[in-house]
Amino acid sequence: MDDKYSRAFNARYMSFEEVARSFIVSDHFISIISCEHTILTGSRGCGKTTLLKMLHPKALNEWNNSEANRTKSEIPFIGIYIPADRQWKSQLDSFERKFDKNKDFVESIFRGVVNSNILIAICSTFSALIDINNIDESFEIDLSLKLIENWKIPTPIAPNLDDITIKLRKMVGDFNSIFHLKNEGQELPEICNKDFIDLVSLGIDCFESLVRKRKLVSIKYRNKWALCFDELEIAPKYLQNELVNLNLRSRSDQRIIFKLTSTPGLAELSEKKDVIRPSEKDDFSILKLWIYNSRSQRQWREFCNKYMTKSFEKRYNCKINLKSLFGEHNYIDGLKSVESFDFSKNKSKKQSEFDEGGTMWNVMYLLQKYDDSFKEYLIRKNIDPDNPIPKNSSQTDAIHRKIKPIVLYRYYFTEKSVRANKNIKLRSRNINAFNHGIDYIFDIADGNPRAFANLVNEFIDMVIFNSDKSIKKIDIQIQSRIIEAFSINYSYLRIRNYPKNEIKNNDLLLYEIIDKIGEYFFKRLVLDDFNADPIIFFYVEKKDKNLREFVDIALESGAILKIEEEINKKGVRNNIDVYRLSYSLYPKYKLPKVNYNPISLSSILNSQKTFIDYSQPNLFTNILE
Amino acid sequence: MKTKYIKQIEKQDLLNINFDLIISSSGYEVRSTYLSSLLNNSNNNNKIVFSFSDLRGQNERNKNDNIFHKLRFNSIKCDGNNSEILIKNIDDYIISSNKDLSILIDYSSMTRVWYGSIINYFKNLVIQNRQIIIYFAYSLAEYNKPNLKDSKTSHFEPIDGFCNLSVPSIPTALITGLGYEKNKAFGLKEFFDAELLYLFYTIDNEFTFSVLDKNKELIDRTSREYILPYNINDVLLTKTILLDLCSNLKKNFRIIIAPCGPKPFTIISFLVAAELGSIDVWRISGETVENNFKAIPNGKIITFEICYY
Repeated sequence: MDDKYSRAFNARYMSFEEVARSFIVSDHFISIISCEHTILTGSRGCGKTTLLKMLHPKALNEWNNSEANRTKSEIPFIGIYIPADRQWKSQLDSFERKFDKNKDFVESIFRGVVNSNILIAICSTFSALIDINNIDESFEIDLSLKLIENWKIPTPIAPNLDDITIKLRKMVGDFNSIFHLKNEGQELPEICNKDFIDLVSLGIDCFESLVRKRKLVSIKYRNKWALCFDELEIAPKYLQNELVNLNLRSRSDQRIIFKLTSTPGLAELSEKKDVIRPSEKDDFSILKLWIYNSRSQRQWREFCNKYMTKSFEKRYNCKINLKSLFGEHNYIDGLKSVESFDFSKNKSKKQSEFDEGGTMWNVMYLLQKYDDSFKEYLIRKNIDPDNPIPKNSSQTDAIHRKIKPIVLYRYYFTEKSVRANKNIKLRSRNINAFNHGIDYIFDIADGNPRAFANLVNEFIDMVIFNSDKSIKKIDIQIQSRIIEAFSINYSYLRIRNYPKNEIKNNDLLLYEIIDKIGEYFFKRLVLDDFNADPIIFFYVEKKDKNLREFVDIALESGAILKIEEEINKKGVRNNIDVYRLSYSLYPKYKLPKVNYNPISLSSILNSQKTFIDYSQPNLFTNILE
Repeated sequence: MKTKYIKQIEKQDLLNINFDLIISSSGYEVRSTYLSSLLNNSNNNNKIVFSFSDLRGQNERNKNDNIFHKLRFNSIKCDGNNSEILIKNIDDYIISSNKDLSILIDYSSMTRVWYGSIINYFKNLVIQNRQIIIYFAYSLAEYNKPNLKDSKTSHFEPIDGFCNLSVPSIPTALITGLGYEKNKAFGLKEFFDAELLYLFYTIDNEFTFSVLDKNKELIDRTSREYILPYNINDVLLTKTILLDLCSNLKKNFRIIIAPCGPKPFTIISFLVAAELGSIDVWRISGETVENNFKAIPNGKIITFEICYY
């Protein structure tokens, strides 16, 4: 499959060694290697699987540089990576539906399948430890004999880890005859009745006792084992319950710690009505793998910088200065790149862009000439529309700087309307030149390494060296085009074609609601009467229960993200979550990456009757005229 | 039962066969009655029409019901998403008639759940010393322009009997028959995180252009070796191609077949999954497309003859 947008950087496809070869250490990785239970939450593509896979001995063995060696030495456990995926979940769901009247039977089969999956994962870790430490073949034979006996693997079977794995897979395959023939009376193997933690403990006992017996001092052995469950949200309910409510709280085997990944909406984590539930900080820590505050934004930019620098260095065999290549995000540079008008007529270099003749002064002056609501706003603020200079520095900060992105967006995307009842209309723009700059490129990938890797691939062949070996800056318009194409062809396409597109009790599909949100924000920002506090976030009121499903699916698909502290939640009760569209969709909906106000989702949905078709930019002018 | 042989037969040969049992379905599609109307009505055969309990497309449905009534079909109402009644009736007939049988199943207007369950039923049927020949017949429809609006995914699940428990330690390969719905296959690949994606599409009819157009973005991004054109009129060759592909993939992948395209590809998917085992076949259907597709027959009939023993 040669899919430039989806093949790159999906850790699920990659072997442990491949994951390690492209791995960039992040603060999240440093957090996850602590000797405590950890839950990693984030939507698709945010790097959860990469982090868990990196804990497997094969990945760590492949990861070799000075930073890696230092970090590896600090890891206090051996990782056991336990995969899950949606095909698996759908199989389990089908089974549950078929035997819906026999819950005990369903749970027994699920235990058999889940336990087999975990034991296969343990075999993989044991096998890696044996290979990496060059332990002789007889160790594997002895270990396998012990495992076969203790796990009660049906015999005859050759005593090696591969054959145990095959046998476990076959055992699961054999459950299918029960499935298809609906044969609930069939006797189930012992693996269907065991707690996974007991089986894991037995497996570890077998390994540790042999290591001790043989005095294998060379083995890089630690006395803790991390069970790394990927995609907890799709695990069977009984397992979610056991992991979160029992194992995180009290460990029956002190050698075992848990590293779990989940999408943000997992009910087992959010519905904390039960007092005996484990609590964050006391029993486990949560690692949020999305950008939810300024600190996470900073960490994300650091990761992107490392990743992009490494990618370009590999491609060109030399360090590329990313700031020189892309420049930094700057609204005025964007505007100047597409308009020949000389905005900057400052009389001296000491004057600011808001002083008379400055770029922003010019933009504000030009906008108020046809945008009556902006003109009225200036008048209300005691600013002369014909000379919109700030009266003092506090006004510069409180008004001019604050409204700068709004003014620029309105100026960029509107023009005077010829209709009597309107003063502005949308202006046709081929590109949004505000979308440029290295920090902007980092931000629109929005905590999603898979998305960022795809974006890097789009730029990686664009370095042009000058004769003096310096590099030529990539033109702002080219950057804008690539960013917009990424937003539409990578991010939006995934939302538009997300198979779980139906929202119960709602006529709109997932992407149609996302469209409505994006279009609404754009309309409020650019077309409605000028407002210094526009809308860019949304929340779901408690009474709108039918929209909760939309939030869950949208979070899962990565279309929206939950925002937390530091964001202005004006008018929203404290216990209500606030969300934003993924930054990766901002270029599609032509939104500025600025924090404004929230509004209820039901208000957005009730406010719009028509769509703006963004796939056909030429329609822009016709819609409102 | 085991499969003795599978072959494709021509329309004229099909019309000359005396069937012990004829099974059809009555819904809103015009083609529901096409094949049954062509058959020799003087034969003393058993005829059952399974009528959808859902009364979509009332006018066409009434017409179809009347035609089946005139053709002396015994009408039984069934939920399109549930095959229990359908399978019980077939099972009653097979068990009560203690002889070799030839059965015609016109699946043109049936849901995937129905004809999938019929294939699953015969795969799991245990009877000794009898031969049952099933004729799966499909009336092709005239070209119909695809809908412009995307549809709600009303069904997105593995089909009962074609879903297998497995462990997720090996990756997923997704095989899909491309259909009318824009980039549906693209979304599936993303949803399943499938490592491999194979695309099948028909090359020999008027639907081809629309299918390619609707799936252009995905096709453009996919290497040629993963794109497999097939001839809808040569279902046996298509089955061989799919069978070979699945046999090879099965060693290293868990396979999902998601037939979004025409029904003959779906039935091929069921047959291959039944033959090889441990392959999941998914039902991904959108409401709008099904509702608006009147399916006027174009006169061509594609038939599989499958001999079970």
